[in-house]
Amino acid sequence: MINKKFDIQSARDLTGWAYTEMKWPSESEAKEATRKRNTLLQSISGKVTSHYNGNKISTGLLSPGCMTCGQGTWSCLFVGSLCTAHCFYCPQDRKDKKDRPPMESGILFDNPDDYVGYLEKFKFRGVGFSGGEPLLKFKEILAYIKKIKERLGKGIYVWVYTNGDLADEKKLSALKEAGLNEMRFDIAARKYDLKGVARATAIIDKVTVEIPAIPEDYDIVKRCLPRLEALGVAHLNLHQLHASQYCYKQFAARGYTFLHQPEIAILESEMTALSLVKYALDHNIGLPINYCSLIYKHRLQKKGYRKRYQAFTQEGYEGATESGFIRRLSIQDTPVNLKKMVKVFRGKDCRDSLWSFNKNGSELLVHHSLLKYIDFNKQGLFLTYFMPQLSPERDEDFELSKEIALNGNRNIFVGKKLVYQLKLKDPVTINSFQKLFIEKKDFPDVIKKFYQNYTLKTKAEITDMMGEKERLDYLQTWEFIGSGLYEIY
Amino acid sequence: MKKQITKDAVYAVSDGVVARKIENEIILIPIDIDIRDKESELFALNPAAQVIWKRLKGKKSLKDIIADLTAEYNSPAGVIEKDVIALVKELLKRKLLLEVSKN
Repeated sequence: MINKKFDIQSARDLTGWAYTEMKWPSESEAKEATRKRNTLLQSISGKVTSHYNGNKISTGLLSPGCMTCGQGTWSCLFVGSLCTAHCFYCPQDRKDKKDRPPMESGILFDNPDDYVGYLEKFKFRGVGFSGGEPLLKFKEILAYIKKIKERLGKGIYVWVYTNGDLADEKKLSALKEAGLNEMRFDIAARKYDLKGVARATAIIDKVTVEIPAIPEDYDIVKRCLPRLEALGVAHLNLHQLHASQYCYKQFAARGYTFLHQPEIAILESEMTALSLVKYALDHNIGLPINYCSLIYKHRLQKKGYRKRYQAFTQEGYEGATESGFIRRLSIQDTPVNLKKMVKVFRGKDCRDSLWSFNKNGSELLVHHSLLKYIDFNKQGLFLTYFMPQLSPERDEDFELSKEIALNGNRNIFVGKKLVYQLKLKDPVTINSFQKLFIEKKDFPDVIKKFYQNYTLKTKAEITDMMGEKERLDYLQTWEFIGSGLYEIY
Repeated sequence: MKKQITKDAVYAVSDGVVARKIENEIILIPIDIDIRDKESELFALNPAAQVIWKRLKGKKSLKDIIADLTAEYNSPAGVIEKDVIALVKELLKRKLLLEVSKN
C-alpha cells in the first residue's frame, strides 16, 4: 500500500529546493519514532475506537459532523479567505489580502440556492463552513444556513469553524436560530482562551474544540482538558500539523520533523496527539477525543470526493476501485480479432453493456467479469485509471463531461480525468492483477504465487519480474485507500 | 539483538520467501521488499549453498545436517561446519530462515 520511492519523490517534487532545508527522519530516527508510537498505541489499545479502516482513532463518539466526513458525505464551503488571526500553522496564504468568494471543490457558490442544489444533487449529509475566519462572513453564513435548513431540513448537519474572535452572543444566537448544529473552536489561535467556548456552550447544542496538536502546547492542552469537559464541550478534535508551502518555514524553525507522506505531515504533532489521548484516558477525562491524522484526510476525504462523482461518470464496462477511482480494462488488437472476442462474450450470454469498442475498433473495453473469456497468453491487458471530478465548466481534459443542473439557473460539470495508464503484458502478472484487485485475495499469498509462477528462463528475466511486481505494488495506489497510521520515514 | 546460532537448533525456510532455480543458481526472493532494507534484496545460492539450503527443512538440527554432509562429501568436519554456519547466519540476517526449535 505504501510506496516509499513514490512518496519520497513526491515530497521532493512538492517541496523543491526547500527539501534539503527541512528535517526528514533518518533511518534510525524513523525506527525509534515507530517504536515510541507503537508503545503509545499499545498503551491506549482497547480503550480507543478505531474508525474507517484504522485511519482514525477516538476516545468516545465522533461528532455527527466528523461521521459525515468519514462517510464521504461532507461538504466544506470556504466562505472567504481573510482571517482575524495569524497562526504559524495556517496552511493558507495569509499574505494574500484579497478576499475570495465562497468556494467548494473549485466551484464558486456565491448563491445559497445554487449551493443547496449542489448539496441535494450529490446527497450531502453534512456541511461545514470554513475560511479564513468564517464569522467575517457572518451575514452570508446565516443566509446559507437558513436556506440549507429550509430546503433540506433536519437531514443535514451543519457546523461552523471559528477562531472565536467574533463569536459574540448575538451572532451565536442568530446561528442557533437559523438551525446551526455545531460550532467548532480553534482555541490554539488565541492562546487557548476559553471565553468564546464558554459563551457558545450556553447557546449552541454542540460545541467542539478543534485544534492542531502542537508539540510545544502539550502541557497547556493537558491543563485545558478538564476545563473543556466542565464547560460542556462535546468533542476535542486534534489535527496533525500539515506542512504547506505557507507554513513549512515556521515548522522548520521550530525544529519539527517532516514526514514523507502523500501530503507532508509533522511527526511530533502525531506523537503529541497520541500522548494527549493517552493522558486523557489515564486521567479518566470523559471528553471524547478524536485524532484526525493527515493520512486520514488524504485517504478518506479524497475517497469521499471521488465516490461522490464516480456514479455520474462510470460506464457499464468500467469498474470502481475501493479508493473511488474508475478502472477501465481494455485489449488492443485488430478489429477482426476483437470482434471474435465479442462473439465469445455473446455466446456466453454476457450483456452488451459490459463491453465497448473505441472509435476505430482497435481497442475493446471490457468489464472485469469478462476477463475469464480472454486468453492472456496471446493478449496484454491495458489498465486505465480515471479520477472522477467536478468542474465549473466543460473541461477539455475530461474524457467524459456530464452537465448537471443544480437548479433552473446553474449547471456544473462532472467528468473523469485520466490519471494513470499501464499495459500488463505477462499472463502471470495479469492473473495476479485479477486475484489482487478484482477478487481481492490476500496480497502476500498472491505475490508468492506470482513469484512461483512467473516464467523465468534466464537470470536477466529476474529484472523484468521485479519490474512487474513493482507495477502490481504501485497499482495499490489507485485501488485501495490503505489502513492505519502511516509508516514513519 | 543478534541471535546466537547453536548447532542444536532446527531451522526452516521462512514462509515469506520464494526460491526459483535459474541457470544453476537458486534465487531467493523475499516477498516483502522494503526499499530501505538492503537485507531484503534477492539472494543467490551457488551449488554448494544449495546443498545446505535443501536440508534446512525444519526437521534436522544443524549438528545433524553437518554430520550428514561431512559423511556424504567425505570432507573435514570443520570446513563443512564453517560453510553451514556462515550460510545460516546470512539467511537469518535476511529473514529468509526461521529457527523452529532447539533439540
